[in-house]
Amino acid sequence: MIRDRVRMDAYTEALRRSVKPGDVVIDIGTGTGIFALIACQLGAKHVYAFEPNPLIEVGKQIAAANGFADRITFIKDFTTAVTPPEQADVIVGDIRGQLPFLYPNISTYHDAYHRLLKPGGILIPKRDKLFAAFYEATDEYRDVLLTPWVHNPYNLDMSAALPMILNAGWSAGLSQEKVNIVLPGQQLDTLEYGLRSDPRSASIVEWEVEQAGTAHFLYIWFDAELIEGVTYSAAPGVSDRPVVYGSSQYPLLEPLSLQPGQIVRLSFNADLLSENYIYRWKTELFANAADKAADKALKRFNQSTFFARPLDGIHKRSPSFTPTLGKDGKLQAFIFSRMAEGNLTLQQIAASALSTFPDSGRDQTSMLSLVASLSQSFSQ
Amino acid sequence: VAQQVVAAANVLFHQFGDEAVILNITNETYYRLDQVALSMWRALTESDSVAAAQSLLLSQYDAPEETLHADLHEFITYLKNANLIDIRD
Repeated sequence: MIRDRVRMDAYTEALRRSVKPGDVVIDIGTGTGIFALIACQLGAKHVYAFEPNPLIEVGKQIAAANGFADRITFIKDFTTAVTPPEQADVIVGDIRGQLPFLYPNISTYHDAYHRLLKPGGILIPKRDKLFAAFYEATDEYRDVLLTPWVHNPYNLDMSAALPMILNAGWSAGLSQEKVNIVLPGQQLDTLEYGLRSDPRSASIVEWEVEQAGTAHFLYIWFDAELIEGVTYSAAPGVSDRPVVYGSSQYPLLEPLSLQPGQIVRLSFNADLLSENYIYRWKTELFANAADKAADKALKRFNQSTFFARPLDGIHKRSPSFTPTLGKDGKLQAFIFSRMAEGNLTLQQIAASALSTFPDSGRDQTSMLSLVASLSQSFSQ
Repeated sequence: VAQQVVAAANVLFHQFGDEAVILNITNETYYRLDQVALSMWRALTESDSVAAAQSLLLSQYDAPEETLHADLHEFITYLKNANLIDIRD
């Protein structure tokens, strides 16, 4: 992310306009600490830099190398789990994914804004605006997206994979310069960070087709407003576009042939399921306004990234499901119970697990490896 | 029986291999469908009316009409109570 100059320059400018000498700053998702360091350069009295990833250790070294070790407190946790000793004048973060919908982005800013920011303080980013457009890409759709599955070069029927392919995000085979937009960008939603608590997004937008063309892909992007007057755009075809976010493109179930006067309606939803977002996009084509009013669509595609997932026992996540432990669950429960005794080495735990579960399919080495892995994640 | 059953707006149906689920996005509840329930769901949501769905199922299953009618309506009631379907006149 640090390599992306568009993003970095915008964030640096937002910090330059916001941080005053003597300020307290909170950096959410500091990574290797770049925003915390810049805040120190701008005169921040102290920075609390949060990062749950072990990468935070590198941030500490970098802070020391730059003489800021005593002004930055690195906290290996989420801001939602810890209360620093003082509230901040400025809170900064970039915890988006390709889109702003990366859990727990929205709820983290909401919590930080209300709990960790001084009254009148500044939250960076201020808002993201979400946009959608449709573009034409005949070659990418036919030759790159479909070919291995529909026109298989080895004469194999691979079409069973097609529902997954056509419901997944698509990022290959499109150069920014060649984006041929057939239905121009329209705003879907505005995410007002700090004020918004609902992590979901639901929007419906319509286009009246002006020129004949074919839509193959839906393109979703955001424009960021870090503070008033400091912005950047991840829109397709923008020359100084930040590259770190990639691009979120979604194929249509089939190419959508468009004629002037027709109406296209898009319903786009971002839903949060068990800390993961799924996207739904319903694309409807109507011959005219009367048909739209009568709900008589020429084409109607209901797509979702949920359909791109193997189910793999997903019903077991349902709140009403009553789980029982399977073979691996029993083994891990046994290992945890031995760890809880608090006086056994990993080697002793692995040996007792092997003798209790002789049919686990593990030898001494792989059992020790499992115990070690659980120890790294869960012991203290 | 002339009414039509459609999946509710916040419901996703997904079949993958031998497994099929209905997901209620609003409360993040998954419903696993066995083979009979899967046939009923498909018949209901792909037919123009409950009567058409029942006829389709009668052609697929060797079951008395009264039994199938009762089972189908019990299934519809369950789906409706779980907010998984809308019923249109």
